[in-house]
Amino acid sequence: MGTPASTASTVSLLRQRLDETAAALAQADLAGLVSGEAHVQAALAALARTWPISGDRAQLAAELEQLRTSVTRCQRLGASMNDFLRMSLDGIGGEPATHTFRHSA
Amino acid sequence: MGLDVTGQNIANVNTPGYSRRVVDIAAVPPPTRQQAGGGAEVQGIRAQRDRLVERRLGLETSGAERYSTMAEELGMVESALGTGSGSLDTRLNEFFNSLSSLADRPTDAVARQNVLLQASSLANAYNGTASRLQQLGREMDQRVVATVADINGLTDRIARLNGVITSIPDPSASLHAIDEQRELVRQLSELTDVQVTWRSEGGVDVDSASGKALVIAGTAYQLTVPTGGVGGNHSVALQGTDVTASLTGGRLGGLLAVRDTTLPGYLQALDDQAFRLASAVNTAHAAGYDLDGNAGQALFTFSTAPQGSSGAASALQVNAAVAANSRLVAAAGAAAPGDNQNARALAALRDAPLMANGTATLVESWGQFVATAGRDIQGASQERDVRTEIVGQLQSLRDQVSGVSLDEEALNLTKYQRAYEANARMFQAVNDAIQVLFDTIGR
Repeated sequence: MGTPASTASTVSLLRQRLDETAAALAQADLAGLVSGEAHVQAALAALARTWPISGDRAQLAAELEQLRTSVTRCQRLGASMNDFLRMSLDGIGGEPATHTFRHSA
Repeated sequence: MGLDVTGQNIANVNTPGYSRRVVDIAAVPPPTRQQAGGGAEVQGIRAQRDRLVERRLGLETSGAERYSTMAEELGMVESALGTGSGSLDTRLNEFFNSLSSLADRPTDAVARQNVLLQASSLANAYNGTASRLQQLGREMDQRVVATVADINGLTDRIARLNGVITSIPDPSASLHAIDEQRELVRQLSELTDVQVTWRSEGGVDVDSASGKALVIAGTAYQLTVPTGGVGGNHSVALQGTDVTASLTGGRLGGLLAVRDTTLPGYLQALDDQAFRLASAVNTAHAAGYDLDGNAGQALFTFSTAPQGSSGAASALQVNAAVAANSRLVAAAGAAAPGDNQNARALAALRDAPLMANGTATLVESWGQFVATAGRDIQGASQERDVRTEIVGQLQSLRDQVSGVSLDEEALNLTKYQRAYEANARMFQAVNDAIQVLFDTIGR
């Protein structure tokens, strides 16, 4: 049995997964988006398993700041994609996109 | 017809502004309910130009260029702040080091001369930094003027193309002119934020962010650059009205933001620091006595009186009388030769919290200033990168979801929609996790 991963390293892995998802959003890569969701979900589950937090807290804070930047990037790209889908579906008379998530920034 | 269109699309794959043509195929309904459908028919060639997406692309292009310009200009500002032995924090430390040495040897002529040398070096560093920032401001002002000229050139061409497009009776024959105009509008979006309205008879009208028209039909309204704007710079006017403040997007918006807001803010911070330094040093110096037992004079003066603290950095200099006679350096706390109390008091200003409402020393304040400039660049670069990604994303989406039939397009859109929604839930979960972790570690 190996040494348990620190919370900071698990946050770092989650950030990498989000960056992959951001790249899929930026390239409108459908396959990447579909697999990205599962990868992010797995990384989140791994993060939950590191509870209670372990390791250097300053390093964790720095990783969290980077994670926040990554998730903001995903949300911006996601909001743009959502707008595109909504206006396109409205334009061709399809079902309007539902709004389970709205980015307010 | 479908093959012709495909060939045209392939031939123009690298043509700027070219819009992919598609053949619209729609099911022909059966003549009666008892008969089978009538198959499919080609309804015509149209440019695949979703105007709402075009608007969004224009907006993001304009934003990306604004932040790209800001990052570029702020990079030059950061260089102007200086690094290494010539930087202000190094000069401040050298000045305070010379005062510490004077405290060790208060009557030594070399130590006294060194204080004057370092004071002069420090004043020069403030003068030089202020001068470089002001020079950058003037260069940005020239780029504002040049960008306005570029905008006027583009609006002229867009207006001329309006005339061409409306003069061609067959809409499909005007597609090339429309593509050219579309590319010009894209270029215009890079320079400033615009609102585009499609004319029913063909062509476009273009409004500036101020709401005033830049192009109506065949007429272009020129931007002008009267002098007398913020800090003596050129302002930007349209139809006789100053619209400078409303121009926030594109290259022009980025230049104006740095020229009129960020750079003056940096200069003011530099002036504040120079003014506080001079005030604190002069107050301490005046409390001491020179080698001849006379009360100390001001060590620093200003070549021109600052307005408040404005102008202090460029006008800071060593008092000419003291500079000419090192005996006038007031190292003593009493009118007695050999006393070093005032030199120690002056040296102690290195650790005095003179800046940021009494929370930072001069050197710390400079470090914070440089860090602020760095953060401004990083913020602009990140914003530029995301907006550039969004431009690419919208173009990719448009290419990937559009099929020859609306059914295929709807199917593609639905796939993306489901994938997006699933990911959006994950983003929210990540945000929640970030908040919990920050709360736990007390940040």
